[in-house]
Amino acid sequence: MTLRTTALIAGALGLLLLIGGLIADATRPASFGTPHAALDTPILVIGPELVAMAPGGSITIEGDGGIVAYSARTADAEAWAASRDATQVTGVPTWDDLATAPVAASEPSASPSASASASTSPSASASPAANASSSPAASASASPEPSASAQPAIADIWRDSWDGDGTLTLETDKLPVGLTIVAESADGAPLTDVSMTIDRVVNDGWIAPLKWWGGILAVVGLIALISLLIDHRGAGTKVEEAVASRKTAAPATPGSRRERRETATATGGIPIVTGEDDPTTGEVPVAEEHPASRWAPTTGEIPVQDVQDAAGEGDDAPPAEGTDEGEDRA
Amino acid sequence: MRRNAAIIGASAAGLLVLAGCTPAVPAAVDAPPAQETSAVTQTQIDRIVPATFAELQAADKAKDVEKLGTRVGGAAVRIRGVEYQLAKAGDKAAIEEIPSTMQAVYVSADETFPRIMVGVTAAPDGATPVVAMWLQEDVNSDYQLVEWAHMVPGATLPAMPGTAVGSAQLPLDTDTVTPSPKQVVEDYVQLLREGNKSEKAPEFAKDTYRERLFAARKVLNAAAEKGDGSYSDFIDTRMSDTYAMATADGGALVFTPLTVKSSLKVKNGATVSISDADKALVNGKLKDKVTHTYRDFIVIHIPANADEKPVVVAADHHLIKVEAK
Repeated sequence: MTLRTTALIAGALGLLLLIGGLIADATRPASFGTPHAALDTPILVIGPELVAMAPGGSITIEGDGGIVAYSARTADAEAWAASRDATQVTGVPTWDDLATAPVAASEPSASPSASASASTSPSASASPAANASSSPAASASASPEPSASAQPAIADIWRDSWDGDGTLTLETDKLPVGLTIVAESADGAPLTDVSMTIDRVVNDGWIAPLKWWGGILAVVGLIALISLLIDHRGAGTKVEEAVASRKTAAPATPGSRRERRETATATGGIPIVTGEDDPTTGEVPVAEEHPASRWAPTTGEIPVQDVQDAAGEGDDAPPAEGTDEGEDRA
Repeated sequence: MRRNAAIIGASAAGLLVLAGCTPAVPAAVDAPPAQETSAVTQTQIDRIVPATFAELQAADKAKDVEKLGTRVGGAAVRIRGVEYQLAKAGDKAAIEEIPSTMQAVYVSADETFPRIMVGVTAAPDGATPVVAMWLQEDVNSDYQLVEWAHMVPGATLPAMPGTAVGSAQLPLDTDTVTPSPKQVVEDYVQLLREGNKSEKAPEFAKDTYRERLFAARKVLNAAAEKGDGSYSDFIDTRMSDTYAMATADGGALVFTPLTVKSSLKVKNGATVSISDADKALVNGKLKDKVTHTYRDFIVIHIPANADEKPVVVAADHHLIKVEAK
């Protein structure tokens, strides 16, 4: 295997590598995923474990109007959302979708269970006026939404708040660690979409080397291919080799046109008359043994066999210029 | 045939190569712990306390109890309403000063409701610091100032967990302290009812609250005897409005309201008399019987060391009603 052949094979492989690298580069996934989910509730709950899944990422909540987001302890956020029409983000099953589920309603007995005094506190008789003005009204109007969102100051269970108009983007690195995020539309209308930007480590370190090495090998192969097509020898060498490469022509078939042409060339254009054509005797002339008797002084005939031999003897010589022999060889 | 196999092989290899580029969706992680585990952090306290005193000061200025109710609720509205009534009647000292500056705030770490938040104010002029208690009834409610009491002279409050961590709200029957908060309250009420001769007296450290109560009882008993009448008082508490909060050293602070009704009755055509300051509250015409109703609030410290006696560290005696019958 010559060096040129090796280079041609390497070029072919390099071309394949280059194509593969370019395809991989073109179809390489983004360095972050943006799974999302459509929403149809005015409240969205995102737990701290979801926030922790997207370090350096963001959470984008979309709606048709103002959006307010809060952070709170998970227990508080879940208790608050349990009595409302809320959706919770439960996971990231694919790079395209977020899993969501309605927030389950909490059991009414959950909060008072730890304290014996809790169950009876609403019936406190010390200040009926105060009870009438605060707790019953608050709990009754808060659940269906607008009144809760319309509060100018945020409720005490929320630690921080953020707001936006139409779109609210929260950078996860700036969110408090370990707290649940609750987003709520300011006017009680359903939110429309939530998406998360999650960094993903794309295994693409091999693409650039693949392209580089493929390109280099392809160039090597291209050079080999070009050198194959171009004859770098000198002009004199080309002619000599071309002449030397020509082979001796095969003898002409007896009686063929080529044979007659060659014969005519050998006799210098003098027509040959065979014995059978002798108009005077009709005899076949007898060939003489000695070259000196080849010429018949009386008839001027030339023995056909001799002429043919003479012509055959000249086969090794280069054909005379202007004959058809060169064409036949060609 | 051979060419087709080569194409299929190359396509499969390409897909494998491309599949290798796309990482799997990150696995779910455990929720990291919150940096501040208390129910309310300093950030929230800084919203709650100023809002409370803004409402209180507005109501104080107008002497209008209707301006209360959002951040001030429960018994505090009732007590403040009486103070406004007395102030309008001319008692310039009727409205207690509650400083808005907090020396310390104790918050709950619990996830259940109701929750309490306790603030110790700076000392007002001529008085001891005030222990104020906020209550959050449920997740949909905001914290409301519901009770307050001045610290007993000489008393000290125990060290409490910081606002980032919060204190555990103890069940009243907890066995983490001895005696339990419920037992302490019941015993103290029994002591108040029975006086210094009660068998429960040795179980509590001395405090000025009960001394004043017993002193008043003695005076009124003497007055009733002078009018050939009688004096009686009724002291009760509501466990439903009693809360306990763990201290840093494993003890407990117990916050409990008391209702004290004192009735003075005279005979033989005598007529009871009351102070001029209280006359604005009289419901009806004074004759031979008058009943004062007080809404008291006391804070009892149960030390972690069972050998130490529970002690009242804060208490106030608020008149809320005078009935002339």
